[in-house]
Amino acid sequence: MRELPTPIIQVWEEVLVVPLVGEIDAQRAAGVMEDLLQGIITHQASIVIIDVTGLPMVDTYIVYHLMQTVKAAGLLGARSVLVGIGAEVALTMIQLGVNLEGVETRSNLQAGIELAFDALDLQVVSKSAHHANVEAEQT
Amino acid sequence: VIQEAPRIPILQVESHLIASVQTELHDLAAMQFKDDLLQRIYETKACGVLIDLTAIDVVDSFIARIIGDLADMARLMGATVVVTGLQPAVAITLVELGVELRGVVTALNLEKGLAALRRLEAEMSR
Repeated sequence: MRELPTPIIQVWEEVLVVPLVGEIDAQRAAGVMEDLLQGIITHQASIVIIDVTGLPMVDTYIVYHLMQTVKAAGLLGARSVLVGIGAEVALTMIQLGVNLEGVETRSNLQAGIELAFDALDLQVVSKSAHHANVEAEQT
Repeated sequence: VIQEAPRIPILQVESHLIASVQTELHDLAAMQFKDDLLQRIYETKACGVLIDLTAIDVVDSFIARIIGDLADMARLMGATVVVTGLQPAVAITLVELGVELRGVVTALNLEKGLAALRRLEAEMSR
């Protein structure tokens, strides 16, 4: 039986979020990679945010698969950001001597989404500020 | 019997070259393609090369290396290489083979690839 699949969520045009939650084994890791690459094509995504907040622990194998996924997504033309690396996971990664070179990281999902908006040349503006701007331009 | 490899057409659009690979790349065809493309870069002094691999379902290490070599050589000649339309299965194979296509810009489709070329060109001329 297949583990519950990892959702590939489109949060904005061209932006995908992949929340990794729970135990990840070899089969699930490979499944995530395939689903994500297919998702990039279907949604025409240019940015992928991989959220590892829900990962209880990492081992060399998971990290290896993460790196492979990031590289493969890069080959399709999508930029990947790793978000939500907790203290424990960060510590493990350092102790494992994992080289995350070439992988962008941000503290949490919000920071990841900010980066995505920035890359897509978008900006979130409060409605009142926007109206004030429009009125100022009209006068 | 030495069979002549089918030539892959290389089109010039403004200062860019566009090659769309529509058939499976065999070793001979890939070598021929590499020679043709380098020759065309030399003749046209193109500053960008776009290789569309949408139709390719399978690559092996040899083809992967050719693409990597091509990018390196094109860069030496002053052209940027953009590879577009890699299929998920192809991407997975490349990663598993450890081919990272360093220095190659990748894009999802031809449209985004062209946009990337134009952006790189603008950056370089600045």
